[in-house]
Amino acid sequence: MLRAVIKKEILNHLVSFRFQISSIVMLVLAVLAAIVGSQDYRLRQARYLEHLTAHQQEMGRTHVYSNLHPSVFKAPEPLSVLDRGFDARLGNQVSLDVFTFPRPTVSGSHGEDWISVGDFDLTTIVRVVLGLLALLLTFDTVSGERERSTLRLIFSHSVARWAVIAGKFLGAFLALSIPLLASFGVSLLILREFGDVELDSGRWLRVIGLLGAYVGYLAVMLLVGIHLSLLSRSSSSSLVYSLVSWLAIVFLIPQSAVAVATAVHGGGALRSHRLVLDETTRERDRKFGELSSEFLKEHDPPFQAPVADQTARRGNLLRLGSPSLYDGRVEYFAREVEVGIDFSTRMEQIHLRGDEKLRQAETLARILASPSPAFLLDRISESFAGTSYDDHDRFLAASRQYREVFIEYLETKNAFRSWRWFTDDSPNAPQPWTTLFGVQPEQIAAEDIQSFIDKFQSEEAQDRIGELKLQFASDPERRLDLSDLPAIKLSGVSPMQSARRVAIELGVLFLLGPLLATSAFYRFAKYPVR
Amino acid sequence: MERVTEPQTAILRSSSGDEQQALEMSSRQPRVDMPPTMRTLLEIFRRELEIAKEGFRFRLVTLLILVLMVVSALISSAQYHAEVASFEDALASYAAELEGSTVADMAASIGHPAIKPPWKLGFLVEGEQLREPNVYRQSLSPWAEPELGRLQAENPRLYAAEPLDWLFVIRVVLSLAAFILGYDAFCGERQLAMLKMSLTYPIARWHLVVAKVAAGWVCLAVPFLVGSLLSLLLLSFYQGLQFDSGDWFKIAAVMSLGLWAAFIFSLVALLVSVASREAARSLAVLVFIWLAAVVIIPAAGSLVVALVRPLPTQLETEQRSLDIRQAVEHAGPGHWRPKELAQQDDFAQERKAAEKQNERFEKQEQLRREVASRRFERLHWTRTLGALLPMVLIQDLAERLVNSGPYRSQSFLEQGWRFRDILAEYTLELDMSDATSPHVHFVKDFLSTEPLDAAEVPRFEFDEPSRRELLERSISRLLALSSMMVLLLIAVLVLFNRKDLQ
Repeated sequence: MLRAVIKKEILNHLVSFRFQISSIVMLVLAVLAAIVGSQDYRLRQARYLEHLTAHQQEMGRTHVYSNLHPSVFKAPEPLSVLDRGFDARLGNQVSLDVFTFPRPTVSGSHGEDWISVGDFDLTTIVRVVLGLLALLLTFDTVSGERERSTLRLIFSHSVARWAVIAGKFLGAFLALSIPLLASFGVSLLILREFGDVELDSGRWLRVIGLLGAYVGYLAVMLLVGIHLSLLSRSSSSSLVYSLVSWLAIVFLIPQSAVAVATAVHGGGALRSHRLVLDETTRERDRKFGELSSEFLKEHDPPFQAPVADQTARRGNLLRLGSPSLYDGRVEYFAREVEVGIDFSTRMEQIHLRGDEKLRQAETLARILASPSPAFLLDRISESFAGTSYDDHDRFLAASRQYREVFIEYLETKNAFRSWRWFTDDSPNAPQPWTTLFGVQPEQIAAEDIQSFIDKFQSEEAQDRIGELKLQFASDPERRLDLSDLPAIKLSGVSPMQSARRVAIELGVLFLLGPLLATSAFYRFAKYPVR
Repeated sequence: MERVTEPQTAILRSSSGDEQQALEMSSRQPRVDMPPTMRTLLEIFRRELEIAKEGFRFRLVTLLILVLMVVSALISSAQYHAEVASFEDALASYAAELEGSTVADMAASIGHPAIKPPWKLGFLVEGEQLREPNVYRQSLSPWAEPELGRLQAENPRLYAAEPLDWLFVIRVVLSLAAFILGYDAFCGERQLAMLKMSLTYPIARWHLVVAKVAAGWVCLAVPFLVGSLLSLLLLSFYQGLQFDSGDWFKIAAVMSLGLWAAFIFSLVALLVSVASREAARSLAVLVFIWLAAVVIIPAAGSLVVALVRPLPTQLETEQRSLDIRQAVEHAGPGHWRPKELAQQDDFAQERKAAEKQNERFEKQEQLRREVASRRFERLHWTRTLGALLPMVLIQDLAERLVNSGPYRSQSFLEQGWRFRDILAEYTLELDMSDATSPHVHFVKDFLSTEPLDAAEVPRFEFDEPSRRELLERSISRLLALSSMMVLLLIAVLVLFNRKDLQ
């Protein structure tokens, strides 16, 4: 008998206008989202590779340790086509140095925009369209039949009430599985064809998890619709309840939760965190200023060397060819690095404390929004897709860990206390000052400076400087040998880890189903048929 | 939907009961102060209102609107106060930085912030102002790249796609409410043969349309107005927000827009209701229209525009910037020397070097501005694409009227760019008045070392457009919305006049 009810329900749904139009809308949207998402993924992948290649070339051209800033990259996640999550919104490159704690910079396609382009992916379609469709298919499943007196007709056959309600649920569930599976399958196909992606076994398992989350959400939304139908005496009121519930589940509850959490934990925490960070930055800059005036003055050459280069992030490339000046600088730079590492550690601690407060706000939002199956679906699908904030956290944690490895590497190379921190000159290498002027910079008397400048600005000297620069830049002896620099290890997330991260959300979503089902059986058992 | 029959018990009850008698009675009573058409209209309107008022849909919608508007007021004021604190911190920090500085510091060391003031009317039209950059820091030194960022960094872990403001209530809630209230206005009555019955009375069809539109509008307008007033009272008296006349103009504009939008949404609901044969089908169509207008078109539109009008990649921009640097720096002489030495030829080399650096900066700045302008241009394209739908049009109009959303962000950035000229002019004047300065602009070691009067340094002031400018900017959208309204009204009237009521 259950099978007969299921068959009747499926057939009813399949021929209904609302099912057909919603399924078509869902499928069209899924195709559009998958095409746009795949193109976006390819674009991000291309930019990621561009940055990676540029970075590797840059590393290969590095001459001194102070200019060595290895980067940690996070490749765009292919499953972001199904759920964009935070993947394109947050930075995917962390450039490391000893003076600052690891912070991500952006090298996505949309992530670098100030103006968001919106998140339009399969999860959004399932959350919004399939959620609505589930309610539209079930709002009159009981109340409608009661109004038309067909419920009495059903009960005139020897059919148990549980079989009727279970049949209605399963019928709607199976009917809606068709557009869901079709959209899912088409999206995967487009991802493969347009996104040029071959999924590995781990990702396939995560894809199954993602599908499981969609199916769980669908079941819960159907049960909500059946409940509303059982609660209302008429289909019209049930329909209105369904629409308002959908609005609340999909938009109002998650947004209000985020807004309340922002209002409660937002301003004050962020402000105090920022003030402490600003104060520490000022203190660090003061310290650097003191160091600079204490050490550098006495070792400064009479005027800036023509082939010396200062770059950002306290990186220096000096080519003065003056052992006494270099020896003076070693002491200064060693002290500078010491202060820099100390402050970066302090700032990292401040940042982590601030991040803890941001996590508290996130936890509050999670608790407040947990009654919304749509919010639960978002969290779960982001985790399975590998586009959640937790994935970003993993990337940052790996970057922090790698920075420690990098500093250790520099220490084993004695980089902080050697010439190589700031110069690629060595006693045996050609030295621009001595080559050009035949003297070392500190040997120039004050009265001779103008004649040196005149020499320096002559066409001949300028040509020679250009040649030297090229010669030095292409000289492999002057480049750092980084063959023993440990490589960064970024491991992927296993499907089990993905599930474990959202265990609470999974628990709530899959608990809601049996709870709603039990409640529906109970209510339907007492439902007045007349 | 086929299985749905809409009983409309309220109509049956009222039409066959007291309301119907009242309608008959009132139409028989002679009233000298009102023309008969007006009287008929009023009576039908009253009947419609009475029916709606008693229905649970109206109560549900009212409750939803009121709760949302109160919550929105409380949340946005908390966010506003947090922004004010950050704003004041930033100003105080800037003032401290200026204190004890020299003209040279002012020119080349200090990053002068152009700060967008906290958006007090965030409860009205937030327009992503809590996510958009609100500080543009720039130094006059050709080596300092301007920085665009946010003072009050948002919690990146909390990502809400939509802010809860009045515009959200208008666009998302009022539209859905209008559809819920009006989907069966005609087809529901027709299914129950109530329309035929109503038209047995001496009334024209258009009377019925006008009365239904008016009743539908009032059912939306009243909760919206009450919600707005509650929200304003909370903000003014409980949260202590002070509004000036410019703010009141914008508040009034958004309130009027809300009322106007309610009217348009009612018309859309009635149009679909007139065109549909069944109430269930009418609601299904309206729900899809709503879904398309609120969720699908804005999201899909922005993605399509992003693909059609892509921005240069970060690497491309960096490469162009590097090309500029190389082209300018390799051209011509110029060199930096210690001040004492450079004095001998009146800083001739330094002047040439500074000129090159300034030229390089100007070109790179031009590139940055070009990329920024293209971002805004892309957003305007998205809006134009979606402007055929009332919800997108209303959003765009609201943002134009109150100067929020991309209009505020773009205006801020452009004002930030102009602020550089003001700073340059002021610094130049100070430097030129110091005879001991080498006047190599704007290179720190070759400028006046005279102390700065911090209080006199020009501060960035964000210029809000005047009411006239706001209206001028909105006129095309106002006309579009008016045309949409007139077309909808005509469509409803024509369709209902031709409708077979069998």
